[in-house]
Amino acid sequence: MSKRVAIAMVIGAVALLLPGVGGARGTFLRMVNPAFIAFPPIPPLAGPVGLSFVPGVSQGIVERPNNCRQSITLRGLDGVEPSDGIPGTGDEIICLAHMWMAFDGPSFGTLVMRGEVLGSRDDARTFITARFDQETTLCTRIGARGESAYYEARGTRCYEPDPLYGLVVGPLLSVPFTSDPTQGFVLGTYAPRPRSPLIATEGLWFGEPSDEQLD
Amino acid sequence: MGSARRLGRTIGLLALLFVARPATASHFHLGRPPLLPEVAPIPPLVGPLGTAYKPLRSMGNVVFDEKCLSVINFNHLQGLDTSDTVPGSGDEIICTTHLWIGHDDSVTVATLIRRGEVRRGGRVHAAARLDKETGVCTPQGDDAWFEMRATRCYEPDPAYAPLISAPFASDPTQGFVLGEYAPRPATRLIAVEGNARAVDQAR
Repeated sequence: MSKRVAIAMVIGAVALLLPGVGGARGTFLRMVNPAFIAFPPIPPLAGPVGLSFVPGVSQGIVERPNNCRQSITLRGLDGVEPSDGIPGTGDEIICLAHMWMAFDGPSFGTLVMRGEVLGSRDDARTFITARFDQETTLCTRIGARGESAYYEARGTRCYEPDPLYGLVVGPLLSVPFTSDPTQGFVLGTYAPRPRSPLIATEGLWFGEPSDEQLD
Repeated sequence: MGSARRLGRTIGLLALLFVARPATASHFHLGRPPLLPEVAPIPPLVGPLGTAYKPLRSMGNVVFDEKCLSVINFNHLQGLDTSDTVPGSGDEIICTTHLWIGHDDSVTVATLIRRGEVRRGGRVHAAARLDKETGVCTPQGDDAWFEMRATRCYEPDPAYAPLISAPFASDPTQGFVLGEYAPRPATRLIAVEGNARAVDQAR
């Protein structure tokens, strides 16, 4: 082995051991100073709780790479029917993120997101990416203009499909997404939960990963 | 000589790749609680607000992982006195994290209280292995934490002394308050969880 290869391997190994390189294990949250505090607390978590998320088998992660983007991934769900692939038809997994926002001024509300159910009934998955700067005029990427931010952005909760949510029951979206008007922001109040069972909420599991999770 | 130059170039390239790596995005996991406890919601965020965290200059993050590691980091906090580096002497910033602890079929509400020494340049780095400091967290123990996204950090409060149910072995002023949420310190808020500045991504 040449010296160059050996050095490259050592540096690569060190890089992989440092935070931010080896994948999204654990919980990593940025801290910011809030500009306001007087908004109401987010709604408490309420049931019913479903069984589609199987501890040790299912996985879920929420990522916020910048101030205008949030993505949600759920894998290994059991008992959720695959959807038709058409946005807004009501057969999607629904995720709500309650938050306080400083977009065009202080506000609070709920980001309503939907994700098509892929895979099979006994191994379902969904991927959701919400780009607020592209889907709405609310959020401006930092560095472009102004300073958009969100605080108290806790309360991301995902639910099984509820075909009537947002149509007959549920929230009226204040700022719908351009690509799918069944997703978007509810402002000035928190959106109610769908009537369907809860799949998952924010959490950190300390168990040993299953083979499925390690694959 | 040529070999040394090639070696230097290789190291430089690798260093550049390392520096240019994607920074860690805020992320957290999802899980299913075994049941929903009938408890009061997490305490609302209340003031007073401080000015130690300067937008466009200060930065901070909190980390929890599956091995019970808890880390609090800040840099470039302004206007805080450097602390004496003696744990529990009251001149540390205080961070509280409200959460639910799920174990088997039960759920307990709790607040994790952490403290961090303030160093020159407004730096704070406080890392702890919660499994070694307390008996509350066990890696691969099948426990889970839920609704834990409420970390709030405050300026030093020498009078802050909630009753800690599971204190740290190394510092009894840190630890878990179990069965209820701890009150906030009386001092000003430094920061809460949130996403703001793209410049943070580069740090």
